[in-house]
Amino acid sequence: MGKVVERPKLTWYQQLYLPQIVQGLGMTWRQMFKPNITVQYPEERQEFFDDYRGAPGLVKDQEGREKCVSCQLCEFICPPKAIVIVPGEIGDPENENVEKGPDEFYIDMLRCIYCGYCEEVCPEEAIFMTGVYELNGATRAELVHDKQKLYEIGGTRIDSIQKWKGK
Amino acid sequence: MIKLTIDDREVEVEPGTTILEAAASVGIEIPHYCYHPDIGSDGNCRMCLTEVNGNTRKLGISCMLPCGDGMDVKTTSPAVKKAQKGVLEFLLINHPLDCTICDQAGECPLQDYTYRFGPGDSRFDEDKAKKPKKVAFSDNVMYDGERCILCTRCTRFFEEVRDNRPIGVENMGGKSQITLGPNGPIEDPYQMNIIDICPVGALTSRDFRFKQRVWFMDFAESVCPGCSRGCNITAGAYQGELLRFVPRRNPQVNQSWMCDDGRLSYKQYNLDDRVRGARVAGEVVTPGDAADKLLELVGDGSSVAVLASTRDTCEELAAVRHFAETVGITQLWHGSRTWEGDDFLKLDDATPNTAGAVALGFSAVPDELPSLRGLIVVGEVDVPSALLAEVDFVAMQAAVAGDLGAAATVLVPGRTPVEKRGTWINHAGLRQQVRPGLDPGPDVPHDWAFWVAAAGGTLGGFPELTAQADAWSAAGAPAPVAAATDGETAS
Repeated sequence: MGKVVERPKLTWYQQLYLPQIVQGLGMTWRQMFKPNITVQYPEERQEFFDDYRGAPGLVKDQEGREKCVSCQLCEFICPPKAIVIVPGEIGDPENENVEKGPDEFYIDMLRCIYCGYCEEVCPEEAIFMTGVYELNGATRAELVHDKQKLYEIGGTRIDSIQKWKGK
Repeated sequence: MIKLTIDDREVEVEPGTTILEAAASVGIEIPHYCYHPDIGSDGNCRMCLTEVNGNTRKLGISCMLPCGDGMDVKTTSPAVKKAQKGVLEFLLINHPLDCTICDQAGECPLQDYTYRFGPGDSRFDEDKAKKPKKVAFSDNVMYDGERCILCTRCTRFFEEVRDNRPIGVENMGGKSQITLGPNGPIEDPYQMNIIDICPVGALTSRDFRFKQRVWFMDFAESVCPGCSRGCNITAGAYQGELLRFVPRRNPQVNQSWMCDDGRLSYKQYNLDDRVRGARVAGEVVTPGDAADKLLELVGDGSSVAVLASTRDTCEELAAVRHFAETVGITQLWHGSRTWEGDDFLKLDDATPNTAGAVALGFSAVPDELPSLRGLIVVGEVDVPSALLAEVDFVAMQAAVAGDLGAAATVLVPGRTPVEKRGTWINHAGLRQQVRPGLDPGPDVPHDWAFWVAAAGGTLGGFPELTAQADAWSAAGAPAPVAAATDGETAS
């Protein structure tokens, strides 16, 4: 049994019909002289606020070295378990004090919920939510970002925290 | 007997027992670093301070202080808590905040105690001490001087347990560090135990180093399949891949130790290619068809022998024996493997359940081989080639087929020792729990399931098998077989 909905009773003013039409047209006219808010995507792009959470990316420091030390806290905190890291030893003879880095770093963007916990938990400030919001691919595999793609998204960050220095 | 009070609880101990051990015997935990139950106390870390008889001016180190009659010990008084905070603050002055990349993180007493007893803050503004961070003590052990808290458990392990001194402490005060002796890298075959007893990440395994954070791993408290000593272990795996064995304390068997060969033997159980699904003459069939074919081949069981691996559990051997009795096979043999043992833990017999097989009525392959029509090989065994010369058929159950499995008429999947659930009887007649560290998946059932099903399924499930294995081994045991025991749960 459906619920019977009573048709609302119109007042005599509403029953006149024409004032309602004029009122509606008034709204249309007012909008016509206001500035445009539609963005002609993809030719035009929307400007986002700084804290916008787009696709996560890894950053390198100003010397082009990877900041991630592969502590796997982002993998641990990630609610949808989108992050998989394969840790490894760096083995750079010139920087023996820096031992650990990610061999592989995968983020499954089909799983990512853009919560930003990875950025928040990172002790090395190596992963950031970027402004990148256009993600597409012909296959599922393309949307699993590997280390190279993540560094492409993240770029370089000039920053005082450098694991290679001061040790 | 001495009576004393620890945290308002009456404790009765033998003379000579330390306060720390007395407290542990009633379940009161006193934090400690340099004390280890199997290498004794040194009294250098000062973490185990307790208040004795209300003396707050001079707290006693409970790992060195013997119990006295009528002592009143407080382990959580304000003075003790303040002392613990102070000790931890001193330890953390030079300890790097490496937890993010440190392999010990997650199973680190320094982390745990700092969280539970520590100050949570540091008043130290100066730079931390710089020490060598990556010193290879051998092919298996890596040393990080900055993380070391100089408890000297590692040097004392070699002195007290192994009776040699490959490493020692050099320099004084803040510059102290553990260093290799003049004879170069450590060569002791039990050296990797210092990695486990190291309470921080100063000594790490070069094999396990940086492989996985421990909180992502799955652990099974089991028994080392390496030799008939049956050292208690914790097997650690990550996503179906075994990453390490570490010893688990069992004072009756292995104390806290295990040999490096046993520890690194986990590698052979990560199989790339294994037997999945039953096969008859190379064709994949259902396990039921394989059992039918086997029964047809065995016939009345005359001149057919069973050769079972002593890596199989008592339960599996009980099922095999049940099958053999049902079909009329009387020749039950066991096949061991050997390696070179030593004078400490490692034994010559490189399989964990020879005593169990003997107790269940399996005998060694006789020198004078009878003429055989068929051979049933259960598990991984080195089969003497003379046995195979005249047989018409070979049936095999194994995880890895090998040449023999490829040529076998009937081949059914088996589990590796780290995938088994059951019990093994070690060389001393101690029966120990084996728990699976890996799950090979539904198409590799437990080894006993096939034999029970082939024999007509009368035994039922695992509890019945265990009961039957119990009964059989008790009846025919050469040495008194103790009831199933287990080591301590990892702390």
